[in-house]
Amino acid sequence: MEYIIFICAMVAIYTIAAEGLNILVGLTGLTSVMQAAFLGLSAYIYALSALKLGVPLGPSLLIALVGSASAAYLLGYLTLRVRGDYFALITFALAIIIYHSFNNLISITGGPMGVVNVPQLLGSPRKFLLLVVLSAVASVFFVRLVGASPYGRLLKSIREDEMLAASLGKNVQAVKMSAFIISSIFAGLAGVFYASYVTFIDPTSFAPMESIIILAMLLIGGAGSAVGPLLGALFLVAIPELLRFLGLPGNVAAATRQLIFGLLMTVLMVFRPKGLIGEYRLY
Amino acid sequence: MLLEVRNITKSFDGIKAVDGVSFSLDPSQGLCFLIGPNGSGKTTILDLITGNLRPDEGEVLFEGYPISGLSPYKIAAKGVARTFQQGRLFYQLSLLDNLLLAASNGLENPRSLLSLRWRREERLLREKAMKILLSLGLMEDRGKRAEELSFGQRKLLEMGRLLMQDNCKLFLLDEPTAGLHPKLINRTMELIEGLKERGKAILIVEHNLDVVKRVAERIIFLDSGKIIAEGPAEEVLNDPVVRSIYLGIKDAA
Repeated sequence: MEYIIFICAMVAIYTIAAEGLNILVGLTGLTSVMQAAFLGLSAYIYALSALKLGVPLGPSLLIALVGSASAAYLLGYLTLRVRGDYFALITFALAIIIYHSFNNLISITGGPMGVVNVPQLLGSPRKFLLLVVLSAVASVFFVRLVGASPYGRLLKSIREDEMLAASLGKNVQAVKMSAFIISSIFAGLAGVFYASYVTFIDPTSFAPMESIIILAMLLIGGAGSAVGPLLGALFLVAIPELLRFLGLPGNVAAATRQLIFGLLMTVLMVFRPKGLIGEYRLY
Repeated sequence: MLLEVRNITKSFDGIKAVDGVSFSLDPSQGLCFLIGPNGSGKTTILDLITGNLRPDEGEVLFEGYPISGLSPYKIAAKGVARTFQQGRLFYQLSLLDNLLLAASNGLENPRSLLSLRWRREERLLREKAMKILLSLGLMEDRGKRAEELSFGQRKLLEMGRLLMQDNCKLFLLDEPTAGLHPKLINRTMELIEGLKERGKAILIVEHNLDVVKRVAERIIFLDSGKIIAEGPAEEVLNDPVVRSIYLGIKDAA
């Protein structure tokens, strides 16, 4: 039972992260490959502010979200000048830089040893799980709301044709920035929930590969649709867990996971290029 | 004067696409056409006005204020609407969304998400968009994606977008009738006339000489980036240099 609860929590946490990315990738058309880096930033900020500074957990959560949003503002200022594939490459580079910073700023992050005994929000595991699941459901509805709103229409116009949007008086840069920040706040929430749930964080949880996996959740579930990322998270969190039951040795299991993951992406690319239920073809 | 173009020059790789062009435009001048052979710099001039390109020299004034160097969205927000030569729509979005995006309604920001009242506040805008779709004969297709339309319908939708841009004062149209059949050309010209009657200043890049002859009130004739002739339509079309360059007619000396 514990195990199933764990998987539910992970699906919920990754749904939140993927929904945030959906606003950026699915609606605005900006392929970011650094969502896990934002998860990591906020996870560390939350853990360190609670453990080292003794800030209460609620305010620590807020500080982490503000930290994530501020980082997005700064990084957005640098990266949002470039378009398309270049944006994807730059964000991926940032994901690598941030990952190595987690690893090497040992005096702050503990390096590869990570941070242990991260306090859990709300104290009680049951209440916390409820909070995480409700937040995930809320994130699905939020994306649905955005998609149907004038703001979502504006985001989609930038996804479709930046030049035309600008010719209609839309401040494309500012809109992209707003989407980047909103997306990072979702990632921030997911990061805090992750740290709070697992109670231990180390750089590997926020490695560049994790950013790719969150993006893959979006691609598999369907970018632009509200429910897509939930399906994607379900797929990519649950399948590796199911593989455990095959009783493969550790190193084979890890490789098999990559194999199935790659196979799934290829099959989807051929048969459902917009993802399971997506509205926007990313590649 | 609503628009003043002063001595603008633009080179690409050392070749002057626009070479010291000056003209001014006001609604009182009626339909103004920018004509000339291919590669004479017509679209470049539009891009220089809308900020998609920056002039190397010279400046553009809109309502007396210099706008050269501003980003395209700022110039658009000041009241400059345009269409593009190849035609541009938000192809994956519905017809209705394409029109709604043309209007600035102050709701297109994350804050409107909190109010949840956008549907009510957008009602007037939606009604206006519906009316336009109805007048264009596209009402039944309003939920379709723009990519599903035929070429002619797409051109019409672009006209509809201009009609949504009520707050704009200057309309720059890049070959609005290209590739259309005669009936649709007439319809397009009717719509443009409608804009003129609403007091808008209009500059049209056009190759279709029949259209130019029929409706142009003023013509700016361009060749190799320079203005060769400018003035009332009849005068310019009868200019011997224009006739020779554009129509290939050599007047007997």
